[in-house]
Amino acid sequence: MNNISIGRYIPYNSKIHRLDPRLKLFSMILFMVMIFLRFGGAQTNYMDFIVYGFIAVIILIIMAIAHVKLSLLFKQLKSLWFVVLILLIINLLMPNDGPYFLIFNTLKIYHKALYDTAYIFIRLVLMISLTMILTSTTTPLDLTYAIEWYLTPFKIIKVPTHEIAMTISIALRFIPTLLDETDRIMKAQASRGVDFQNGKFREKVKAIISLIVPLLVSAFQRSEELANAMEARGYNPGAKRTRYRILKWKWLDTIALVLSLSLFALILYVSIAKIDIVVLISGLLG
Amino acid sequence: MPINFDHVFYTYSKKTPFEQVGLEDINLSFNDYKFIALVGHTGSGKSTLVQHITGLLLPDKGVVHVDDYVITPKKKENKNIKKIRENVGLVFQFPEYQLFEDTVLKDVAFGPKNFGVSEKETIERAKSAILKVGLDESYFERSPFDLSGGEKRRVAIAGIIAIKPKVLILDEPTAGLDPQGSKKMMQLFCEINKNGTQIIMVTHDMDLVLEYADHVLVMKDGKVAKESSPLDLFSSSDYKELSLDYPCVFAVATELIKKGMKIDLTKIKNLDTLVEEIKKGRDSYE
Repeated sequence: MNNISIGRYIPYNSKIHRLDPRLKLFSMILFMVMIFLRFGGAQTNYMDFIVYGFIAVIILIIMAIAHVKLSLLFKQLKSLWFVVLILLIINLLMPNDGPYFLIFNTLKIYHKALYDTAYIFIRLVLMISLTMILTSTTTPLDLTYAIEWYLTPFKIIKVPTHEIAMTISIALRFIPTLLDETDRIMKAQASRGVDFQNGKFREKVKAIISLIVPLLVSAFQRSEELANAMEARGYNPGAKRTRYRILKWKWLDTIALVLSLSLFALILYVSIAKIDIVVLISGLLG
Repeated sequence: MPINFDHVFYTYSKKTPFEQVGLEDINLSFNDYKFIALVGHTGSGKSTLVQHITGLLLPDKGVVHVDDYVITPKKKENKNIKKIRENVGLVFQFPEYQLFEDTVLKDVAFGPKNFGVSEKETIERAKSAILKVGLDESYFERSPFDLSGGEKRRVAIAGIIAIKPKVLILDEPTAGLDPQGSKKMMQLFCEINKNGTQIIMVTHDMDLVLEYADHVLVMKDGKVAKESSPLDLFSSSDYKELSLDYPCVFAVATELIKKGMKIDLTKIKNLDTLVEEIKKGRDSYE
């Protein structure tokens, strides 16, 4: 329980950490779009993997700059094998055509099924590493500032942007607190003989109840205390307020923006023009 | 019950930026004492130490012996942890948060039931535990969530007492209680202690240490900084270097001795004995 470092802010002072959260959020969305594009012609499918490899290299470079350790990513991927297994089973069961090979002389394994699984898996890994970079280099509070900033235009149509941002930031703020609380209650109940790992189904249900009830009770209590504390200090959601941390756009941000935009343009061009690198290179050579 | 620590090391959040030393080369033996106090500043490793006794945390290195059972770093080797927890009851700080059943009686009975005590005996034990902590029969069928904070804590402690452990570990049992409630609570533990249960108490209150403990462990930065009887600890010359408080009655007595009054420090345990000694000292003074 105390090893939950996934998706958590990791305090370093790298260049990536110092970037403006608005830019980081925007760049992440650009990267996500890049990952969801299709590359190459309809017949060839190796282009997808070439481009993904290229994006992966860039992500690795960013991770290195940001001090995000690969081991952290692997830790997270470990919990993903089940998803991959289900993906594989679904893909294998899908009706397919094209080349295949047989195992046990009865089961048809289509090449396309394996390809699709690998394709989705790579996308997942890339997306997870992107979000990991974002969350481990940006404090949750900065992230909500960025979200609030992007929501500002919607104020015109009376979207309560400030309330949304506040709700998100409170929710984010209390994740570690609730995790600590969970850990504490689990230990307290374990001292009373609850076994959270083993046991029959009935015992397991009881074990979960003994965790969830106290957790909910304390969560409600905490929220009430917080609401009271906010009111006592004169919190008024409608009021105009200044803030402690003001987002400042710096040179580094401009450079990062230009870099990610040009990368996006390049990838977009490769996708739309259906450029095939193998054809391109053989064309150049020949 | 013999409890031994043999070169125990523990680190929190290993191999992450949040890494923090929990315990460093702890060698201890808890055999000869009946009431052991564990003192030290926040983060000195007191709670970490007691959690190792019941296997809630497993050491990174080293071995903990509890009676005939052994707690080792490898998770798979620790099959007897439930047995240990039946023999060593651990009351966490603010234990009132662990209540979850719909009646007080059921909640107190939860522990013994988990350890396989028969239905009939469970109810008997629960009833006597509730009475022992100073609540009466009218509480049996009440919801634990309707009780006051102090009553909740009594119920939670009854939940551990009902397991009838041979060793009772208390993590700041009097924190947040009014002086009256805290005194009653300590009287309860004293009674349990006299009936043959060894008590290990984590506390910040040096007056409690002086009054009740027959042995003190001072923790500092994950190590045992000092180990002695309360009186030897408070009268030792290097006690100041540990930057801990003196017990109020002890401080008053030493000041009076400096002024020339004859007071037997070994007899001073609490306010009453201090008053008595001062009376005696005054008589001899005149």
